[in-house]
Amino acid sequence: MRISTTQAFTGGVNSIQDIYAELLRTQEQISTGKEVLSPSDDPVAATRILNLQEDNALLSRFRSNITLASNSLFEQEALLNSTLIAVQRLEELAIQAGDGALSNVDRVAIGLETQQIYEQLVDIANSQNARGEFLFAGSQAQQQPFLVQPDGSVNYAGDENVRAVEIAGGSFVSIRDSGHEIFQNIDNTQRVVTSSSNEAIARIGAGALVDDDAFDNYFDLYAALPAPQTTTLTLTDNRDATDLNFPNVPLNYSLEYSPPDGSGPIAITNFNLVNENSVDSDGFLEIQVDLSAEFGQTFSLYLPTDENGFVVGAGDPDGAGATVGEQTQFFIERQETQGLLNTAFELTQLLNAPADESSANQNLSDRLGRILSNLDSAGRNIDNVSASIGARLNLLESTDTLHEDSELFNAEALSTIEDLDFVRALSDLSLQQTVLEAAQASYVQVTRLSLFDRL
Amino acid sequence: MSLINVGLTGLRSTQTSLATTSHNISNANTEGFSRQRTEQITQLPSFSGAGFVGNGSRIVAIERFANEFLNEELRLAGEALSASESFLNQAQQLDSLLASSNTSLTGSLERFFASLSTAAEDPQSAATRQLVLSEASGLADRFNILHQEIFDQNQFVNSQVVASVQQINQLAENIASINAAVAASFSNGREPNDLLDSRDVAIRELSQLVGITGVEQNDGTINIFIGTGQPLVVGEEVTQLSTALSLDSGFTLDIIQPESGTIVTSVISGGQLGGVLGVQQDVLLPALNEIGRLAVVTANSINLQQAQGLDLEGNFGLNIFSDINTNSAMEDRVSASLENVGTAQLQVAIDDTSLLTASDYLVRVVGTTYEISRLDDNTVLTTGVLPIPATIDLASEGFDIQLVGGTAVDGDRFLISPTRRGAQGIELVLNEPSQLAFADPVRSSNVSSNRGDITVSTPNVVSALDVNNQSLLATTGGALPFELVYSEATNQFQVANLPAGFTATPANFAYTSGVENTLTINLSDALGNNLDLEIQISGRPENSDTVLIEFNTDGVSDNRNALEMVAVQTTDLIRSSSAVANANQSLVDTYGQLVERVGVVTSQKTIETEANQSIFDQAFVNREEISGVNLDEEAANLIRFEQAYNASAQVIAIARDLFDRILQI
Repeated sequence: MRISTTQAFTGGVNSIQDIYAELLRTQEQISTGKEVLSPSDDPVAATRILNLQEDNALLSRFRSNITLASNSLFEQEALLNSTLIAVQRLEELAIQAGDGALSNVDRVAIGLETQQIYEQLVDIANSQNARGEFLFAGSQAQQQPFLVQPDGSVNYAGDENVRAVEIAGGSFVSIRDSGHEIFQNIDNTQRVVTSSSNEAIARIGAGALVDDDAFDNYFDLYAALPAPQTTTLTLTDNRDATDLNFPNVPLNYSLEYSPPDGSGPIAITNFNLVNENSVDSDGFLEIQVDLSAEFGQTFSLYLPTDENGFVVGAGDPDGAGATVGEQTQFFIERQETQGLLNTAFELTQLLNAPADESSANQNLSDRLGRILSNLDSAGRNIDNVSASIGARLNLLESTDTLHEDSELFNAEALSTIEDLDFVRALSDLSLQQTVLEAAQASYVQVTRLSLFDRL
Repeated sequence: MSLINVGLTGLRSTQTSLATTSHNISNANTEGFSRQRTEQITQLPSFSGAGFVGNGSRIVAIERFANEFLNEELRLAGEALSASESFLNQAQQLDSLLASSNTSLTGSLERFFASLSTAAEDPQSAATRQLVLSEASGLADRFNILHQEIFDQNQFVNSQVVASVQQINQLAENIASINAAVAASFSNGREPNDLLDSRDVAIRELSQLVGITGVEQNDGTINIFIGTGQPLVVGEEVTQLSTALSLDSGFTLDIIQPESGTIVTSVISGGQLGGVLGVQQDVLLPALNEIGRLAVVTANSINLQQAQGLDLEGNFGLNIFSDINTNSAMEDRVSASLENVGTAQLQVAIDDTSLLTASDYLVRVVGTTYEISRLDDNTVLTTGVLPIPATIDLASEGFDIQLVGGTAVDGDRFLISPTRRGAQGIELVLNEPSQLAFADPVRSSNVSSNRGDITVSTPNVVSALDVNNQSLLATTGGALPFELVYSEATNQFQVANLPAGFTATPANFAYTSGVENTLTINLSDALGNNLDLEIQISGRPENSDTVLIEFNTDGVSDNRNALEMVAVQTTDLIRSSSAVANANQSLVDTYGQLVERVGVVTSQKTIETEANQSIFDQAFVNREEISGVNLDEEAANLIRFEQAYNASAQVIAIARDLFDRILQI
């Protein structure tokens, strides 16, 4: 084979360049530690690397969300624990206050403590986090959610939204519960609240729910009306000065009710005195009204007596300027839920009623009973929320573990695809180096040969 | 005396051979040089009684060692190598641009969505909101930069095309003038060795620029044709090439033969010109379209989601990124051919980004009909009779072609590139962090008198919101609040207390206890604006239980819409092929596919270039074996011819001695 001089030179240089290029590439791989330097080196691996990196970025985002969510839930759990302790203390105090041996002064002393607990509960419900967000305001976290009204009751101004974060692809966890869920949405066991138009003349007890179905059926008739749906009970005192001290119920009194739509009134005949011939130690005459057939509730009405043992009112023989036929109205308002804070407030208010009024709190035990069952219902509600938080924390933990495993797995896969096998690369490098040196040396040797040197 | 003459012929022959050898030696490094050799024969002998007496030697020709077949092989190898090399250079540049962690889109996308995710955890924080805007700006910048880089690369390719065409013209002139000289020599019956070599070199250089075919004529000239037989050099005549802006207004150039007006771009292959035209059509422009599509889809999806939500002030979200259908953007999507006779002006409005392809489209008027075709798979999408209507809705492609004005006539053409400038136009237009709409517009609540145990999801507006149907959700004068009231008698949730002037369809929803019931309520007003609200209710309701649906006033820490924005990252928003009209790829997957596609092409071209390089090297070696100068060989020839020369000189000396001896007698 004939070889031209140019061929001998360019051939040698070309092969040196090829080896040099390989050497440089190996060197670049070693200095970056990467097997794949650009996508064209291995397009499939490059895409897989992109996918894995994307996956890892998502996983680390999920994990940071999980950390934030756990912190938020722990924070809420601690607050709920304090709330639960407060509720239990309120229950103890309510039971204590129900002791008939206690004087009004004693009850006021208990009331001082319930007042403090009530304030503590308001503070808890209005908790803010480090960023100044109200924790239990739903999505209106810039506004104080539980507003104390001038009369001391509490309104909820937040909403029912809960904030969720993404903890895995398409999987969201609520990191907070709304104030509505925790403090507001608590069953009012009695389903009604009652009040009287004139407490000095007559009071009404908390009522007792005896027939849920009857209650439902009654209010279903008025479902379309806006809240509050109030049934008005009217007691008319028909006594005149000639009547006996102790009224002959129902002869001397008449009772009727008006449904929420304003229709009626409808007369009630089945009411009776509990202890017709005696007044209880606090000086009250109790009338039991059974409205279980009408709307599933029974109520007690309490009529105070004066120092002479006369029932106070229009027919009171020593009453001055008494008018026969005076009416007292009792409002029975349907209320399915009662907020914890309002229950606490109600308890405080009940215990702090003026001590000089001898007849105060005749219906105390009646009302305390209602408060206790509402407190119980609040406690159960908080237990439920706590249980749900616990479940979410478990979910967060297990998801985090899963993500951690995935991250590890991805890192391994990434390393397998992307990272350089240093042992092989270094051995390649020294081989390429040897070959290059040999090629250079032989090039010099070969090109030095020329016949002209011998001429 | 014949002895002297014989010696002289030897001297002359060897002198010529020595000169040829020196010529070989001095041209050992001349590109394209073919070594030459003298062809020596005996002179005609003289006849004597004893027979023929030799009369010495003479040189009949100086031959060039060239094998036309090997030369052609080398030329073709050079043509292929230069084509794949110039393709590879550009492809590699794009390859590293798309994948480098400093310039890749994936990082910016990931950072943008991560900032949204952080903000979703803390939606009212000014700092996290500001971060979202910064990252959005970074994302827009990254799109702009990617567009600019690829655009610049494309401009560089165009300048290469212009330069190549100039060089082609020069070389063609060069070849034509050599043709003239060669023809003159041939008419004298002699082969002009060095001229032929330099013409071969010129043709090889031309081949490196563009694919050609050469046809040798009987007069020694070579005619050169490009493409499918378009003449470049015929004898001494050159048909010049020139460049002109092509239909797509500035992105590509057409190569034309100005004399005939023929456009030859599409038939050109091979050489540097073929390589860069190939990389432009196969890699650069598709990448530009794809990046543009990603930008349009990203901007539009985020903007649409933003319009679904409320900002910190309780207003519906304004665009975060610039609107994809601004007047200038719509006009930029269409370029009319410079040769159009008609006056029609078109523009393109994108209305469904999930149906967009990365393809270009052609509107062509033939006779009295117009035809619209998709160029990536050459599918005719629609045809119609002139005049072009005010709006041609290409529903399957996600855009409308609108007639701005004028009329089209036979022969008019318009190129439509819906996405090519998409990444150029994207920019951040929202500056106020509080205007990021992270909250949903509607919320629900169980009213406190509810007796049943029901769980109500937060209502979700499933219709796309715009200024028209947003009015249904206005704080005052809208269709909110209203109630859903459960009726035990009919076992239905019924819409109640809807503000006057609005209609809810349906007004009653059958309810099933124990499963999750999805209620889709269509709210509409007298003007026909409407939207669908979706709400899930589960549990056991009691009669007259009521769910209040109201405007999300002050919902500053609501993050529902922010979560939806984060979901844009992983939602399949991009149509994966022209053939199927379904969005089934996410943003990052689409970008990954682009990277992979460019990577595959680059890797193929790398292999092809390596193969072409070794074919070229082999062709070079093959030619060198025949035509190359070997200095050792020439040195040996020098010695040989020197000795022959000396010997011939001795013949003359002997002749002179013989003559002298005679004279001395």
